[in-house]
Amino acid sequence: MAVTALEHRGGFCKQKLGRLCRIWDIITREPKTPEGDPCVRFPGHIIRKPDPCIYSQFLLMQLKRPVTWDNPDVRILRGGVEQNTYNLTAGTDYTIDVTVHNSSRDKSADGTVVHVRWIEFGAGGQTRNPIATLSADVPIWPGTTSVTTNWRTPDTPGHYCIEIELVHPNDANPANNRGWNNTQVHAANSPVTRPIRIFNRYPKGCPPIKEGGGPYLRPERVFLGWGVLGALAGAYLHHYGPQTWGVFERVAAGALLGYVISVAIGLVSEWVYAWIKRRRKDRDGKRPPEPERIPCHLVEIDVDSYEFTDDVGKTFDTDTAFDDKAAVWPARVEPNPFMFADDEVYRDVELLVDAPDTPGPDGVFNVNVRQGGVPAGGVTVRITRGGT
Amino acid sequence: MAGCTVVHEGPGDKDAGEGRVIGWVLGGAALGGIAGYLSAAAAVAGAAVTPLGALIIAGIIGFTALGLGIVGFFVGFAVNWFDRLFAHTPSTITMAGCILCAGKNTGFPPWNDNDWTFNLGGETLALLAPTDASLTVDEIRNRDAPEGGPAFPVIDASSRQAALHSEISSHIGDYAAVGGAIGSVAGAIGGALAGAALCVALGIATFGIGALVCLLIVAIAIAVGAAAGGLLGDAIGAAAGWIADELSDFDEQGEAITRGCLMTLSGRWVTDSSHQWNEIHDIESAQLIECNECIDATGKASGGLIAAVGIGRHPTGRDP
Repeated sequence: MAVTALEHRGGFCKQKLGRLCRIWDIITREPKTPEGDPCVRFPGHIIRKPDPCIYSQFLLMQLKRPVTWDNPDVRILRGGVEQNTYNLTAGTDYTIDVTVHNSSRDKSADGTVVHVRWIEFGAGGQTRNPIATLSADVPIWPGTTSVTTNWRTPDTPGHYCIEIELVHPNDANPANNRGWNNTQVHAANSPVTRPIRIFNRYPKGCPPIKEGGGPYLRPERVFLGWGVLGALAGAYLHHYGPQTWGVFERVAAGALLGYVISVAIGLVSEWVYAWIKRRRKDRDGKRPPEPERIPCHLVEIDVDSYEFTDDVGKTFDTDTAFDDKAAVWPARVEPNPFMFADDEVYRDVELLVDAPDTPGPDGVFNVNVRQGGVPAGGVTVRITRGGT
Repeated sequence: MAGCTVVHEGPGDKDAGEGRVIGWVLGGAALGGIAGYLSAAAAVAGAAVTPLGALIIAGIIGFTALGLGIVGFFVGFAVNWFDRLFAHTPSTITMAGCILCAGKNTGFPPWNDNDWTFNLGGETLALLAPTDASLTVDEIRNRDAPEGGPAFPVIDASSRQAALHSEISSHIGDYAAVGGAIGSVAGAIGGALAGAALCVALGIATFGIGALVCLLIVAIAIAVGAAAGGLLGDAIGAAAGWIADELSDFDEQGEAITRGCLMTLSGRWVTDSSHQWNEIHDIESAQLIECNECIDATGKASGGLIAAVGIGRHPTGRDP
């Protein structure tokens, strides 16, 4: 529950005088944090916001944590049984169940918009097909809210990935709002080869990077700065005006003339100044070396067998929850790494797993894809033994 | 309370903004000097100038230069204040990391802008969003903003760790800059009017050396008026800014932040041309992950905590 400063102070003042009392508190320097006098008081309207969130592989990959694409907050159900996104049947009704969290201790995330979409199975897909737009009122942590929707798969057979995206107008952390559920089960004997489609995020070429180049002429500096100074100087020279005019007419005329002349000179001099600064910057090399950029068409893929153990609060051990786990069986993706060619829309790669021939537990393989150094998506493939 | 300072890792001019304001002062003084000279020349047109007259003329030039130099300071400061931050593309970023320094630049503007200042850094410094712009932490720290720059990477002055400076603007700085500029111009005009009124009252406006003395009185009054008006406008603006700061957080409780707290900060990614570095300014939303002495903690432990809060498995704020 949100706790206001007013609520922290009881008694007559608060009850009878309300906001006047609050003003008195401010003037008399009431500490505005629960900890009393702080070293630095971070303003409450910035630091106390709701944070609707979901298991977001993109956030976790940015933090260099292992991920699973079997999203613990997203389930696809048919008859109450959880399904894998790859193996859905065409033209069939399913239920999508989404659990929305809120990491804020003191602000509920009411009115959180939950976008549910499907993307073609694989990684990096940019064509999003809406399934439903839902609304969730998420209580403060550790409360969660589940929202569900029905989805009838397209009549044309295909393989799917479910994308969830949360939107809240007052979100404390906009980086943890997107999660994927992208799973496949395959029964096989050694060796296993599974095709995975990697979509090019930039099929029309790398997006341009806008940077530097200045300084350029900024007219507002002239109109609000040099013009004002010129007007004052011009007013001071009112003696030069026609003596037939009154003093105030001459002062006004001098100010106007001074403003115009000063603006004209200012525009030229600021333009020249900016030009000189740009030339000098280029000539002297007064620039740090440009950071080495990862080509936007470079695709890098890693494979692991990490599995997420869900929990909350103090029982959620961050050391074990995010512990890397290497592929349980020999596994690799080919080709890897590779560069998309210009205009290449997607490329099919193969996950190659050398599964044991003997009976035993399943193997789970997360295929995590980065394009241009940033997370592009991934899939989780569960391989059960004994298939063909 | 002092704000947080950073120093450039390599080249970079931390005081670039001061140089620009000095340019405005010198420009204003030059304009004033020329205006003073021309005004005095008109007053003595054709007549022989005595040593006393020359001294008065020098005074007119000096005080007019001083007056417009003062106006140049306040106006130039305001112009530079509102024209120093250049937004990047993309304009909003979310970063996570350890608070290496938390401070507030408390004091009287324009020397102190009263902004909340933080240095975010440490082993856990990471870009959380956007993830579709091929950005890296290095680029966040030293890419030049369009039409701005240069921007050079900085380190926290105390811990000497790589840092991204981040600020929340106080209304005090904005309002004081505007108040100072308006006050100095109004003060200069008021001073001129008061000086002229004094001349008329003394009956010396049109008589030989009396005209020069009158100009000197007006010049002095302009200088005094500009200084007084600038300081008064600055003070009124600062007071209004303080009220606005309090009103903007009227119904909220803040959070005490110290160095060693893990946080995520979201806000506008800019190049501050006055200091030649990149920063988040303003911070639009923030989360306290935990205060766990992250400056000395391993990146792995802190990163895990940021991740746990990020996916809602752990709450924000200090553990009770």
